[in-house]
Amino acid sequence: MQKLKVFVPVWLLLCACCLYGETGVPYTSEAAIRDMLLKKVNPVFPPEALASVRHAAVIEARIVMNVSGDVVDATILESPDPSLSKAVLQALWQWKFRPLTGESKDFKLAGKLTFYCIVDGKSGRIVNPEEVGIVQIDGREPAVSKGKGR
Amino acid sequence: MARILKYLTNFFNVMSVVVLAFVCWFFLQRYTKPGQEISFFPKHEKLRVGAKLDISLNLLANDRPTFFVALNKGCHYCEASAAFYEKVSQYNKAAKVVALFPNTVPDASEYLQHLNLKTDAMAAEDYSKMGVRGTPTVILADAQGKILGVWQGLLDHTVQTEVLKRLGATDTEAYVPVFADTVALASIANPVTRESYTYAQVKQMQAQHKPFTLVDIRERDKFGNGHLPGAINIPLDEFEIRGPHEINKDSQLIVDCSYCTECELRQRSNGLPSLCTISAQIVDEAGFRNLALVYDEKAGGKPLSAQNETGHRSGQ
Repeated sequence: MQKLKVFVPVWLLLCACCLYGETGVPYTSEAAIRDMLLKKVNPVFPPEALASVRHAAVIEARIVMNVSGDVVDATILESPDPSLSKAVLQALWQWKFRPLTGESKDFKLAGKLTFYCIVDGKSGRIVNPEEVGIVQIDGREPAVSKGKGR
Repeated sequence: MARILKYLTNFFNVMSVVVLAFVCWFFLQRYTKPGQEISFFPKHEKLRVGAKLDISLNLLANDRPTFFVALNKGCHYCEASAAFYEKVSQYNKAAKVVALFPNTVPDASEYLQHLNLKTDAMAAEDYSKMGVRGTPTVILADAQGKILGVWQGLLDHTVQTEVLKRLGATDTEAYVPVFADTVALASIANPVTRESYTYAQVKQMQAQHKPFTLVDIRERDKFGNGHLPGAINIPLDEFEIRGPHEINKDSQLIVDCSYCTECELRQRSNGLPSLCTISAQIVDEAGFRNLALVYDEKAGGKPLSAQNETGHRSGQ
């Protein structure tokens, strides 16, 4: 019983800290995030993703950077294939942004980043939005819906 | 040893209560509606009835109350309130009418003429110092600067009637018809949204194979919970980048932003733009001119204007 009394508050405190850490991260637009870019590593298209993408697909990622401009967190919000998610995350961890001045050491900034996966025959590439024009995303033909009705 | 253990037990018991309280507070903060945030240390609201207005004394009338209208150039809700301000101008004998602008606004007098607001005075003020959080904000203050009333955002017909009565209008004079809300709303939406469709109409258009692109700009989780057939999901904060690459600018673009009149009214009564208003602006800025909104008629949504209503009827 004594041990339980110790563990319960410690566990709750840890949960609370984890949850609190998630909030309070200011968010900025993709255009602003890309303006701050110093070092960009392009994701490498994994051949196994050819099975999932016919023409083109969108990959949406969310990153969190610290005051030094280093990526401290990166997650994938939308991707057609886990191998593409992995490739984008591997590249994003190497991205470097302009350091944020006038902010406290603990300050973090979040933002979303868009990538397009383009497949041309038997090869593919992952590109940034500024490198492509109009993209015909797979499954975007008219009157196609796999979601629940509304 | 037993005493130490007893102290430790008590300490952890107190800690449990503190941590539980923190967790409860955290969830309340996170999952309450925007604008209903709970804080142990609430900020002192500068603009509240009974407080003293932080403004130059020479702007206050000595013999009657003063009616301050805090405006800003380019504020859609200020323009949508033009008819109300015109009415307010007629009561300048009961209250001195003063238009306020932020220091950064040039050609403020021209803007007043554009709004058809005849004022007794005009001044540039620091809104943050005054406590004005958004425009338009109207403040009624007595000769000593004590605030008698504060109204923020685009006011609905009932609040407009209340304000006019406070300025000395009779019941008949202060009457503002209900359709004034729709007219004001249409005046906001019209520059970017000339058309609106019901869900049923969109489905009918799909059945007739009419060419258009249906974009759902809500967040992914909401889209996943249900959406119109054929809709593509581009969350609003991603539209600026993704829109031009994924949608042809020449095509008819129909945006599903869960439009409903009640949501629009609730947001503007808080002085905030709604998701549909913001999305219409962002989509317009991205260069998409052929834009329409889709709304759920069952959820209380209404056409944006009488002209659209006619269009819907003839289309059905």
